[in-house]
Order: sequence, then C-alpha cells, then structure tokens
Amino acid sequence: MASMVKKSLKKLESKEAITKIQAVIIALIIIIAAGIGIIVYYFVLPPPVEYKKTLVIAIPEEPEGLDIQQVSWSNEIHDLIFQSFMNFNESMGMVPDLATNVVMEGNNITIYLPADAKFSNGDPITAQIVRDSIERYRKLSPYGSDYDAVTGYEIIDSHTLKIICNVPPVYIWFNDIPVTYGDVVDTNVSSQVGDAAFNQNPIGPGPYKVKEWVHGSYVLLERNDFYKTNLPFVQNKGPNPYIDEVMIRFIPEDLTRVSELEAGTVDIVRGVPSDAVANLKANPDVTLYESITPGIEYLMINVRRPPLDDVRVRKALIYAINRDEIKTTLEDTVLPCYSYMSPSMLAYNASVEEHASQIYAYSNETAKSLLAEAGWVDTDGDGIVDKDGQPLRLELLIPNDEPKFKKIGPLLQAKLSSVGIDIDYKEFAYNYIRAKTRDWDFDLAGRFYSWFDPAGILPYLLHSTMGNYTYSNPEVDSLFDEDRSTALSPTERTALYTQIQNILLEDAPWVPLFIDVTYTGVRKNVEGLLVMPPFATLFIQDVKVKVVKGG
Amino acid sequence: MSALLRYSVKRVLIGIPVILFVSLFIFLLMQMLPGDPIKLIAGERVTPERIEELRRSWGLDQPVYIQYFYWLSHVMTGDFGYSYVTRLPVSLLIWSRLPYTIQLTFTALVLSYVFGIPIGVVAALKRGTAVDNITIGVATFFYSMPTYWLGLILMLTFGLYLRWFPISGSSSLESMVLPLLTLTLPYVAMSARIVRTEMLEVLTEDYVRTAWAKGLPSRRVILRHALRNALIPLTVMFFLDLPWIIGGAVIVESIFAWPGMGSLLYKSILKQDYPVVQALVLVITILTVVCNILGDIVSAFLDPRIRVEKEA
Repeated sequence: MASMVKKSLKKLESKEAITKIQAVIIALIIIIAAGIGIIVYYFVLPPPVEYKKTLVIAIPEEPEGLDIQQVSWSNEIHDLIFQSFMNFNESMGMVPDLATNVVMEGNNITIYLPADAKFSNGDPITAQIVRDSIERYRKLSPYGSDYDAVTGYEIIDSHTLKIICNVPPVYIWFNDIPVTYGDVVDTNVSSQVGDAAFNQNPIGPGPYKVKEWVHGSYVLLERNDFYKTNLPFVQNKGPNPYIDEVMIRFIPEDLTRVSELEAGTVDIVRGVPSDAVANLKANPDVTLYESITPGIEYLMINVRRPPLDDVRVRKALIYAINRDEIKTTLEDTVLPCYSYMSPSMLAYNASVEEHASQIYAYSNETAKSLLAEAGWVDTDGDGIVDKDGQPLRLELLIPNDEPKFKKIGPLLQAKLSSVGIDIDYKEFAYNYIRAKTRDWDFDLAGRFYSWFDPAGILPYLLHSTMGNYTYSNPEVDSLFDEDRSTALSPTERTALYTQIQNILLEDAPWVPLFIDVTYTGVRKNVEGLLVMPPFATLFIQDVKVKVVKGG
Repeated sequence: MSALLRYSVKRVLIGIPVILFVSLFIFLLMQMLPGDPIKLIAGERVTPERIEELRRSWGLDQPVYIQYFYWLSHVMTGDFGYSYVTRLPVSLLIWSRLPYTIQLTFTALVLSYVFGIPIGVVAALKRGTAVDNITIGVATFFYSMPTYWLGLILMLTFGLYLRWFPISGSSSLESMVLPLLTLTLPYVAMSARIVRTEMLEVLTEDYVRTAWAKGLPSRRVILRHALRNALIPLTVMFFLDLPWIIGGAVIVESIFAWPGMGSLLYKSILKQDYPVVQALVLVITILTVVCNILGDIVSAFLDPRIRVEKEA
C-alpha cells in the first residue's frame, strides 16, 4: 500500500502528471456539470413521484367484530377482508367479483368459482368450502334466516356449487350473493381456531387481510397477495402494488375526524357531519363524494294505540311536517321524502315519490281539518286539540345518537304542536327506541333503515309476522310474500313495490321525513378511488396516494 | 399482631361482602334497565324467531338468579364471559385497553401531584402576593374549564393549526401529549388549591411556630414539618382516585380517539352489553376497597395521631 502511494507521488512529480491549470479546468468542468445536473433535476425534469405505502381511513365507529358472519352490521374493514361472489356496478347492475359467474335458474343458484381462487392464507376456495361457509352463516349470523329456502346443495365439481331451494331464490340472489354478509369465509380455519378467535382475525379472499387490531383504536390490514377479482370496473384485477397496508382508525368525535382530514393525517374520512360539508367543499385539498342512502328516515307510528289507530290522525301527522324546512335545517344534506323508498334502492319508482309529494304536500290546514274530522278540536282554546275532554297528547321518541334526527327533533315537535298536538318529547339511544318499537311501547318513534333491496328490509318493518311491528295489512303481506317466492322481472318488481307503496300511502303507518345523503371526504392526492352504490362502498384496487411535500 | 395490622385484616374481611353485594347490585341494576339486550344488538333484518334463538344461545331465557350464579361462578375462575355485542371474551376487551388507560390517566394523576404540590406550596408561602393571586387565578381558570372545551381548543391549536402534536390516536408518545394536557391541567389546578389551603392551615399551627422559633432552616420547617402534614388529605385523595383510573376519562378518550376503558364502559352501558359492564364495575369495586384500605394505612403511617386513635 505504502509503495503504491509513493509510486503515485512520483508520477505526479513527473512530467507526465497534469499541470495545475489542467487540474483547475477539470475541476471547473466537474462543478459546472454538477451544477447543470442539479438545475435540470430540480427545475427542468418533473420531480419523481413518490407514493405512500399506507392508506389511512378514519371511520366513526369500531366494528363489533371482524368475522362477517358474526356481526349485525358491516363496514369498510369487512369490505376489504372479504369478497362478494358478485357486486354492484355504478348503475346497480350485478357483475362478477370473486365468482366468474353466478346463475339463478328455477329454484337454484349456481356459483362458478375460478380454479385458482384462494383465501388470503393461500387455502383454495372450493365448492365444498362455500357450502360449509353458507351453513356456518345459517347457524351463526343474525341474518342466517336469509338461507331458510335452502334445501340442499350439489357440488358439481370442485369449483362449481349449486344451491338448491324450495322457492325461486330471489331473496338470496339480491340480499346475499352481491353483499358482504353473504361472503365466503375460510371455515377450515374458523373450526380450527374457534369462532371467538376467528372474529378477531378472520380469513377471507378480499384484497387485504388482518395484520393487527388495537381495540378501540385501529385495525391494520396488509395486502393479500393471493387476491384476484373479476370486477369489470376496476383496472387492477390483482393485489394493489401501491398500497401495502390500510390503516382503519376509529375516531368517534366528528370534529376530530374532520380535523385529521384537513391536516392530511388521514386520506379518507367516512361519516362527514353535515355541518362540516360546506367547509370541506371549499377546501382545495379535499374531494367530497356524495352518496344517497338506500333507505329513508321516518317516524314510525303505533297504529294500534288510540288515537293513532285512526288513519285520519296519522295522515294529519304527515301533513303537519314540512320536508323543506327539514332540508334547510339539515343544511341541504338530505333529500325530502314523502314515500317509503330511496332512489338508491332496487325497484324504486320515482313517480311514486312525485305522487306522494303532491298528495301529502305540507299543509297545516289540511292537518287541522283531518284532526277535526276525527273529532279532535280545540274546545277550550288552550292551543291543544281535545276529544271527550281528553287532550291529544303523543310521545315523540327521537334518537339522540343520530345527529341529523337529533337536530330536527325540536322542529318536528314544533310542527306537530302547531296543529294542536301536545308533544311529549323524549330523546333516547336509537337501539333503545328500536327495542321499544319492537315491544309496541311507543306513539311516534324516530326510525330509519338502510338496505338497497326492498325485499330485504321492508317486510321486516311492515309485514305482520316477519317484522311484528304494529302495522299489519294482509294485502301488503301477500305482496311481500309474492316477491319473496317468485322470480319477478325488474319491471314486475318495480310494479309490485309501487303497489305496496300506494297501499302504505293510504294506510299511513309511517311519516316519511328525509333521505340521508352521506359524505366521504378524500384528500386530493388519493387517485383511483371508486365510491360505489348502494352503500358508498370503497373500491381501492386502483388507488395510489401521492406523497405531498409538507402535507 | 399490631393494631394497624389487625385493623387492616378486619377491613379486608369487611371488603369481601361489600364486593359481593356490589356485584349482585350491579347485576340486578343491569337487569332492571329498560330494553332487552338481544333486541338492542339484533340488526334490522332479523325475524322475531331469530331473536328468540339468540336469546336462548346467550342463556338469557334462564331466571335471573341462575344467570347471576352462573356468572359469579365463572368470575371466580377469572372468566368474565363474552361480550353480547362483539362476541369477544370480556377479559380480552379489558386487557387490550387497560395499558392505554393506565398510561394516560395514571400519568395524568401523578403529574398533577408533581406540579400541583410545589405550586400550592409556593402560593401558600407567598400568600396575598401577586404570585399567589396569579397562581390561584390560573388554577381556578383550568379547574372550572369544561374538559370537552379544553380538549377541543388544545386539539385545534396544537394539532390542526400549529401541527406540533398528532390530533388524535395512540400510535406514539407524541399522541399522548394533548390528551394528557387536557386531563392534567384541571387536576394540577385542583391539587394546587388543596395543598395551598392545607399549607395555610398548617403554617399557623403551634408546632410549626415552634420549629421556626427553634431556628430550624426554612426548608426543613416547610418540607418536614408543614408539608408532611398538609399532604395527608391529598394522599387519601390519591388513593380514592386510583380506582377511577380504570374507569378512564370518557370525554378525553372520545375527543382524542384514545382507546381507553372510559369509552369501553360508556359504549357498553349504552349498548347494554351486560357482561362488559358487570366486569368493569366489579374491577372498579375491588380496586376501591383495596385502595381505601391502602389509603388508611398510608395516612396512619404519615400521621401518628391516626395510629393512636386506631390503637385506642
């Protein structure tokens, strides 16, 4: 080593070595070249795009559990862990997702699985597993009765399963095949680890799998490298190469959730409160996605309890409420509603809503005259109508954990009082109010539903035996039964639900109030996100999140 | 056996029926709450028949006394059962949140004493001066401020606008700063006010005057003679506060999305998740009994007069 150094020094001292001027010139060339390089890199070439590897989503409430077969409501986490056989496209048409095809013929549904379909742990998804999964769902899920019509199965081959039913399985077709609740789970793992453990770390075929669940704080999902989809509306049919992990944080406080979005510390926020909508619309860093809820918010009426057993009194309640005032109070984040279905539902008929809005247009006078017709007039001039010496006093139950309902509660009280009804206003948690309505222990109760298929929700609220609420009409029951047991075409279904709604408009068991519009706040640097109906489901197969300097 | 030990054993023996009584009381109270837990947890698309099936599967069709003894016998073996809502083991739900609760509320409690005691002492020694007025004014301000408002102001100022600390969450030590400040500031104020009041009282006592007269150094008079006695009520308060650490801080946890026990207890009460509520209340009851006994022992150690009274 020392000899090499000596040799180099000698070379420098020799005539062959470069002169000082040459050295300076070379140094200058190097400096200039470096300078040009730096200028080109920073000012001429577009900056290299960096992408975040973790997508952060903030949601208001932690799920009950992660196993879709053990929960009564699903959320974004279940949508990412599991994968439906079919799914809905933008126009609510059913398209293949996990399955290559699903066919309903006669009393059977046949599911065709891809030969290479796998769960996130690499286990193959076979016809036998799908069969076992359906049977587990029937036993465990609160919605297990969805499959009551199933009488048997035929495993045609290892990737084709025929579900045999005793009626045309239209109910399963709409309410389970394209929905997260009906998704396949790895029953081999669930039976090995037990249901409680599986509820914490379930195995499904969805684009992500559970990495960590910190109770009360977040669920961290990591990419499922076995994921494949047949969805026609996503470009990337396999694992998303840009998003390694998805962190779903539970932030119950509205202001905190929105502040995290504004600060750029979360990428997507669900459940944007109505009072933050205007502010976020004006924020140049945020995009707001609007979604019409597949359901309505309404007042359920106890039609068995006098004087509400008189249809004229019930109709008076409908006339007394001004939907436009509700919309204004809720800062235009809802749609007025006069009928029983939402435009985001299957078999929706806009003409029913138009007809209902005409016949039940807000009219204080009509409300008062209907009450008078029913014998309720203000005889003593105290502002409260009475009959046989008894004032018309009704208990109004408003859910205090539903922000929009809570906000319009006083308005409803004021409008009903303005026609002479003495309103006993009470606020409770929504679940408690629902339990009270199930026990028929109420007068007027703030309720809502959210489900895209009318057959999957309206009978549970309005059928005499399926719902067991106070309303009962054999004609309505038979129409619901007909839909559940007959393979009707979409046009026939729309006609059937038009007929049902027309009867309901006459019977007036509910006071329809509004259709909720939900908002999803997304940072502008999130690219490729799809927010799809009916439940504003997030599809993140094509998502890339650009790194924003200083953001 | 010393009088203090005898007294402690007696207290422990009394504590056992107290715990049993509270467990029965809370069990009955949950049963008396309006609403049926199965109807509360069942979703919308559920038939009445399915609701009955769920009720049977949870054993809720049994008489209340059988349900109670079944629950109690399992609790004795450390099995708190399963949550109606999440179907997860209750012990898992509690253990997963306990570290976060202790981290936040216990730290807040300790910090409140660390800062509150010197502030209270200084305020007492500088009684009537500007230092006293400012100290007590600031303390009163923080003590009377609603936690919800304070939390939001801190979150918006230091989280959203200045971006010094994370807005919410529990992923790093930095995330703890804002919830800790929200919890600690009112506690510091309260401790400082108590210490000041106690110190003012103690400083007028004869034995303190004697200590001054003997020419003892100020530091020794203040720390050894005055402060030691002034701290007795605060010590008792510390032990009484300890069980409620488990209860967490519902509002602060909610604002800062902190995964503590407070939000678990609150959500479980709302959803009538009996097994979780019963387990949490039982744990708080046991801690209350234990901490009361500890509080008595420590105050007896600090104040010889208490020992004499107990022996008498």
